[in-house]
Amino acid sequence: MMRFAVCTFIVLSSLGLASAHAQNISLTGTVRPGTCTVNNPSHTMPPVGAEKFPATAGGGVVDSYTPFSLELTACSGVKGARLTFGTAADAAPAPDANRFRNTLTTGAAPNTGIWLQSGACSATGITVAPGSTLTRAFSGTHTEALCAQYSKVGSGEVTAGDIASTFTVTVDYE
Amino acid sequence: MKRAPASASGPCRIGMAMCLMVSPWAASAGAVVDLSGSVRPGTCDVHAEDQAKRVELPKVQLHVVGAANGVVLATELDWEFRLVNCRGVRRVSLVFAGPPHAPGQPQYANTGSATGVSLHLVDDRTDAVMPADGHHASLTVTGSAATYHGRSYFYRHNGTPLQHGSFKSAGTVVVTYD
Repeated sequence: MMRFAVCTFIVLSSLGLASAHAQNISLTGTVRPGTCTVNNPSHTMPPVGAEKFPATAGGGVVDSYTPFSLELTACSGVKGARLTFGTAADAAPAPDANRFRNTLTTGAAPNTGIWLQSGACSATGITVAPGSTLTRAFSGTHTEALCAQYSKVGSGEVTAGDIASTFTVTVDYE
Repeated sequence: MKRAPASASGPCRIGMAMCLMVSPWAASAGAVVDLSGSVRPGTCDVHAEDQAKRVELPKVQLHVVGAANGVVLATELDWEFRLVNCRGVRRVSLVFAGPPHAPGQPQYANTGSATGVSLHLVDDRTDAVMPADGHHASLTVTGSAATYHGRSYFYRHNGTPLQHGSFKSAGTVVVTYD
């Protein structure tokens, strides 16, 4: 129906009929939010002994606390942002899916993952699970403080090896 | 004539409504977070009874030691070195060492007053001599524990007169974890 109405209008215009016909033209649009410049944090976490890992699955390792931040700078026309941390594919196997998995395929420390938390490193940090979002209102710039620590995942023993996790933080602007 | 505009405006109203429902969020390329680290081997505890371990060697009479050069079998004594509460450890490596009776000799020196004798250590699993300049052993951790089994003997050096007295010999064991 829309297409028919538009075609009718065009035909009438091209005919150039002499009769006067007042026509209001309404122009509408949308101003989309601006963007910010976002850093790509890369950190080497401190090495720790396997004996530092708790026996309980999901437990963290205080000695591995690694504070870092996501910096949103040079923001223009931005009232806020929604940060989505990775996807479900970045998660450790259930029941520890709220930890980021160790992505190494060789030399990996078994039964390990990374526990990401919002805010400063502390025992009461809020878990940021893979695929979860944080919504923040701000103008100008924003610093999202985060803390990473090693975590035991699964029921097996943690022994020597390496840990790595790389994920994308998708930023949606308001 | 009046119905046509009315019906034509119907889809437009729907179109407007859809425009208003567009999310205020505008997606943009995100950041990449890259975290890496490592886990070192864990550790074990030395069993409380084996910390600064003291092995009481048998008291023997001189005629038991005899005159022949070599191991005095009658003085055999088994001992063990126990590691417990191992966490995050697959294997442990042990290195036993101490001052030798004489340079190049595998026996441990006696720092007591007796002469003509030294300490001879043997790996109980393999019967290999544990030389004073360093004996390496590797143990698999099972059930969060590992135990090294050793054996000791007096050793007669008949190039030196045999004299009674005290006997004392010391060594160290260095433990590394994997």
